[in-house]
Amino acid sequence: MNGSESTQECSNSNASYFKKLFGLNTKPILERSLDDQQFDFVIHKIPYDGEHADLNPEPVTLPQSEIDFLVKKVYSSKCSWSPNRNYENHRPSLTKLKPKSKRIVKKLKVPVVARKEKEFCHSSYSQSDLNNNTESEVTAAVEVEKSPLTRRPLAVINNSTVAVQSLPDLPTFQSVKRPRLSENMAEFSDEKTCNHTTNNGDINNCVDNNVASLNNMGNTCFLNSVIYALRFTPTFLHNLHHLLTDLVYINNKLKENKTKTSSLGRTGSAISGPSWRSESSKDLLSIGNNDITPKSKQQIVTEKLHALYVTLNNLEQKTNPGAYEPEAVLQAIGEANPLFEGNHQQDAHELFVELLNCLRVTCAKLNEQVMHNPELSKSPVPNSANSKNSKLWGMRKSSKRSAKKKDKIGGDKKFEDNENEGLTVAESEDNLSSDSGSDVAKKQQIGYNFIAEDFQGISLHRTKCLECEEVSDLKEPFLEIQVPVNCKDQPHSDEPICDSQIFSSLCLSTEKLCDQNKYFCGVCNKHNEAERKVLYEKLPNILILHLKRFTTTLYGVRKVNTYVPTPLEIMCFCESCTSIENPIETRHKYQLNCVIMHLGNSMENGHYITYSRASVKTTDYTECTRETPKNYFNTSGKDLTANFLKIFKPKALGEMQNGTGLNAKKNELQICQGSTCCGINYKMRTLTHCNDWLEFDDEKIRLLSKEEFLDMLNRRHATYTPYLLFYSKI
Amino acid sequence: MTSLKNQNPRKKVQVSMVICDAEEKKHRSGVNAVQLDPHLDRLYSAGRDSIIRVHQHEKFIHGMEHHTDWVNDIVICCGGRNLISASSDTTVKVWNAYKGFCMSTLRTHKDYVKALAYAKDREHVASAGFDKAIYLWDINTLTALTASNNTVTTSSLTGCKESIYSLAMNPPGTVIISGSTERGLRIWDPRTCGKICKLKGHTETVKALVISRDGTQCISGSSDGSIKVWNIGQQRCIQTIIVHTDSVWALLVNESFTYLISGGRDKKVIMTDLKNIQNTILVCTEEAPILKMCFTADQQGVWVSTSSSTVRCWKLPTELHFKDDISFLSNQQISVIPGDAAIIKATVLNDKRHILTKDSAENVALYDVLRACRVQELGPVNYINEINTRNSEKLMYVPNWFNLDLKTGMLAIHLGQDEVDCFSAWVSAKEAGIKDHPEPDFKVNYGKLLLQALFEHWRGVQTDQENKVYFSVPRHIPLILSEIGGRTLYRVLVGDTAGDTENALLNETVPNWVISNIEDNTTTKFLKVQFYLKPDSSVPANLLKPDRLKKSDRLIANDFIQCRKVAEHVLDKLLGEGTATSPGSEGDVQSQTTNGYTLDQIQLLCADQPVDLLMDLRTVKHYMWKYSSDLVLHYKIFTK
Repeated sequence: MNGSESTQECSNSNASYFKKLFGLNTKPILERSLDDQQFDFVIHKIPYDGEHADLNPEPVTLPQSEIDFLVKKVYSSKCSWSPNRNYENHRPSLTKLKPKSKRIVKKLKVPVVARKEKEFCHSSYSQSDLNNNTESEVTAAVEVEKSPLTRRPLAVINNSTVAVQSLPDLPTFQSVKRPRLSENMAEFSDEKTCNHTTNNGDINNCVDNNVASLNNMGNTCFLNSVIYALRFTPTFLHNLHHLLTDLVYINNKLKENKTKTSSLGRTGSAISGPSWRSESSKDLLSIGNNDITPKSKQQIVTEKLHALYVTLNNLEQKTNPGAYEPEAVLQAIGEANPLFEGNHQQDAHELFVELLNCLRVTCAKLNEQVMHNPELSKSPVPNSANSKNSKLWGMRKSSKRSAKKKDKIGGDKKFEDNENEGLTVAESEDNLSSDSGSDVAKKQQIGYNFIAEDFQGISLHRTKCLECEEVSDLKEPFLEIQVPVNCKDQPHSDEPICDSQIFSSLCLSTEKLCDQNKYFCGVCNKHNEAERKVLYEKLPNILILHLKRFTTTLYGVRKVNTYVPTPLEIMCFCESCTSIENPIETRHKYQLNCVIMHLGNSMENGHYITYSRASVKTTDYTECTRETPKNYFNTSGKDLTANFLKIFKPKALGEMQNGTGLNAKKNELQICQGSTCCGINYKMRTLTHCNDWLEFDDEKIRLLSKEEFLDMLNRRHATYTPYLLFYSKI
Repeated sequence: MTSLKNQNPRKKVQVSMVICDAEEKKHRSGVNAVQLDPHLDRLYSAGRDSIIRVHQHEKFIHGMEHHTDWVNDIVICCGGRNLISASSDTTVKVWNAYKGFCMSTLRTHKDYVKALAYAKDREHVASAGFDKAIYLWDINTLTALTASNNTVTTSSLTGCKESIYSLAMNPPGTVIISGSTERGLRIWDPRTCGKICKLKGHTETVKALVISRDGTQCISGSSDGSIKVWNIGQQRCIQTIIVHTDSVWALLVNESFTYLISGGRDKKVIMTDLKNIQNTILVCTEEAPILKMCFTADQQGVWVSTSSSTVRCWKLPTELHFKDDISFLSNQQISVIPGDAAIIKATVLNDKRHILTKDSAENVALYDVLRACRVQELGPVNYINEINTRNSEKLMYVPNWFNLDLKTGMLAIHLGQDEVDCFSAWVSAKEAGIKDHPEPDFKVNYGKLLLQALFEHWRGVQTDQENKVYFSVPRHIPLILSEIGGRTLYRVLVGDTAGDTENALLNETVPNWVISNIEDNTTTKFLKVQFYLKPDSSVPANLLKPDRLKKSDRLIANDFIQCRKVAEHVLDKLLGEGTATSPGSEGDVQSQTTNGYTLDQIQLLCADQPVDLLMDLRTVKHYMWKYSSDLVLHYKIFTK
């Protein structure tokens, strides 16, 4: 639609692009090492020799001073960017950009459909290009995404190279091809395994920075910050997805059992509506109509939260996503807990607890239903059929053409989930009517309580009577650890504690029960002095630390602004890890994933900003062995992905057949539907450095380097304090 | 009589009693300390049952009862004439050891007094406890105290930052050492009260300390399982002895500081040659963790006290066993002072009057609180089953009116603690088992009955019917007045309350709330129950009085009112024309009212279950309604 010119420009995989872009035989490449811990900047010189790029350029290492300069340039932030600005006057100062780069920028504002068309063109283009130059693949992408609301530019480069955030005054930048890409890509996909299903191969495509954003609806930064943080919490979206599919599945099963008249598939499809286009969250919540049991308020919260993530995923498919208003979620939470009613500022932590509680209750309810109806989780199809099915499912990618045809067959608007495509029509019809057991391949996973598994740890209150020295343990599950923050600046003056131990020293406390607070020892039958230790028998996979920054004083709630270091990595401090016998090397570690910052001097008026790692591990999607029940998509009105795929599939699918190293790899993987349903879908993901961070300030989203982030985190500024920390086990 | 005390701002005072036998010859619970008077060869043992007992060659001489909580440590001084004891009741007491009476009580400590140390040459004693303070007493001053001359000067050694669990002083009184939860030792010079040093090295509470005569060396035992020998001059640990597998709680060293005997939580008594610490001999293995040890008069044996009530004497190995490697036979018991079983579990039965207990020998017994005695010994029956059977005999609910504790291994009943109203339990005389009461339905109050019994002798003989003592408690029952959660004010045996001095002291200490209740009869306040009385849906509307349809009846009644009375009220007031009889009036039972229904036709429902009309309202509320909100009763009529 936009002509081949734009295609060529945006298609970053071919060498001619670079020729146009840089026009020189030698181009500097700013590359940041993929190594998490290091920030080596290497400038590659890539000689340009006609149509084929030299894939083995000599790296030229710049002097340190120059690197520093570049880094500074690249990472300096906070530019004000106006859409009307003349870009020609604002060339990137880092490297020379050919005038054509300007056009890339200008092409950003293509309408959604048009853009998709464009993407297909890219795909085909790159495919043909691949034919010419099989070794070269995706390398660099230059695109600036502009959210109309934020007016904040975001710039991202391809996976291999630097991500640059909003250069001063000019929101574009360049990046350059990376050598030996196929190898690196293979590594890369191993490591990150992203974007498989979502884009159907448009990994080769232009990368945009369309991280979906949430509008502040007035005092709702507490909500936005938590939604962002959960979204970027590893495994959360995936598990939420399955929770929702399980809920729908069970609900349908129950109904089927009850009515015994209409088949499940028909019931489901009758209710499904093409609501995917709508951005209104109300439409996404049409699930509730056909419930067999009345929904708890908690379940509604869960569903709305999921729906919100679906919407965000959907938004990220678009070129120009506006900020979304998570109104439905807020409303649902307000109904579940009157504390959150109205339009007041709230504590992000309280909201987080409430949200997790809603999810936990929903999981528990689901579990209960499964318990009471054991036949629900039973598979009517013998195991052999199961394995056969999953085999077929594993092949789904290679047979998408047939699926495409089937889409047309499905005249009743019933969407055939693309995971069914490996099956014959007969098989899938059968599936729909009998709800075959392959939907529940792993029955033990139905009602998998991921809150309990991932978020719940067990704390241990170990009390020792100092008289008889009898020890009694009290175990308690917890969802987050309250970390006391002392008013004094140096809470532990005894010996310096290294940063990675800071929380273990703060969380593992010992209290002496004495004076008027003696402990009643059941052995002595008497109140005696005792020592009470707080230990952690098990720390959850996702460890949430809540810094208790608010203390109640005579004058009301006061914020404690004491600086507490926020290490990117902490040592596990569960009981087994901290026992003396356990050497330090074998202990678990936790990696910081998200931080919710509280800005402001008091609890009443503050602001929350979320920071999260820009790259989220998606191995849970690829390792997922569960299959999404098809009827889920029918009933939940979440066939948006499908429709989306329908639109731009034709060409994307075609090029998927080309067995490049990466694609071949992808074909072997089964990718969970959740990834396309409510997963993170912004394309930057694959392309940013895993050390980069995203800043979510309501609708404003920007990318930070690790240094910038650390700078932000450890700013000893009085009112800019980390509040909720999300660590995940590594 | 009572006016004086009102001006005394004081913590609320509780009244307690300990249900015990007339003579408690045997230790009931663990024995925290043993001391031997070598001149008379008498063994003093300080029990957790609050009694210090004196034995001569296994023969019980007498008990010294005045403490109200665990006795933690004792010291024999003045050549055996006096004994000083430290207790968890926060007091230090000076005793006449020969006659066994308490001469004076030192109330300087503010928390449990845990340890004593004695400097024989100077007749000084030091006491230390959980209030982190060490007080130094001159025993000659203490023993000279009289009622008129009751001021003592004491020096205090301060600086310890945590609770002190052990204390030692050398006989000349030049060095005093404390061990605490700080995990270090602190050393003072008691002559100047100046700090000498702090010794660090243990990783847990230091629970036992011994010091050499010259004060140059000391040995500490800690809950970290290690024993450390310290050189005080050099201020360092010179040896670490690890012979125990668990905490070390007791240490004993011979006069010449050459052999160490240690005991602890692993129940073992081990003798170590201090010249060669590899040389150790197991003396005995006790049945419970070892708390304290002392030598026999001839130093050939060791008395060992444990957290069980039996105190045993074991033969010690001699120097020959160490030097010539002659094998020593462990566990040679020389003598034994058997103990008694301690009550370890107690459950108040539903009638809130009887208590079922289980002791450390698994025997179950039944106690009657009002009579302060054991009424039945059931032997080793299943405790839980017994409770359940007894509680299910009759469904009745009586509010709590006392607290109990078992810290001494005996039942202690407390009245007047804040959270429990001791006058809440009203029962009919019939239910209380008062057979000769003129009115079987007359309501009596358990708390009042018990207080009347406890202060019976103090108040003198009461003649009027109202205050007649239906129950009496044995004269040997100790009556304890104490601040709630705090110190003991006065301890007296019930039988002794009539004495002149006791009477005067009681006049000062008996709290107002007791006097006003046992003296005046005007203060009878009944607990009320609020409830709604609603017609069941089956009750035809035309039977009800017109105004009944609109408002629901919110009623208030005494909590012991039987439901029969409520049914009568329904019959009289709510149905049909109704008569003028008031619902509460007594004896109006078989009223055949004008509406033609009888009481038998009325059925009350609570939570959709029919209510036995003989139940009282609080029982219905507690067992059938089960909510804290107001009780709702529905009524129904059976038609003939």
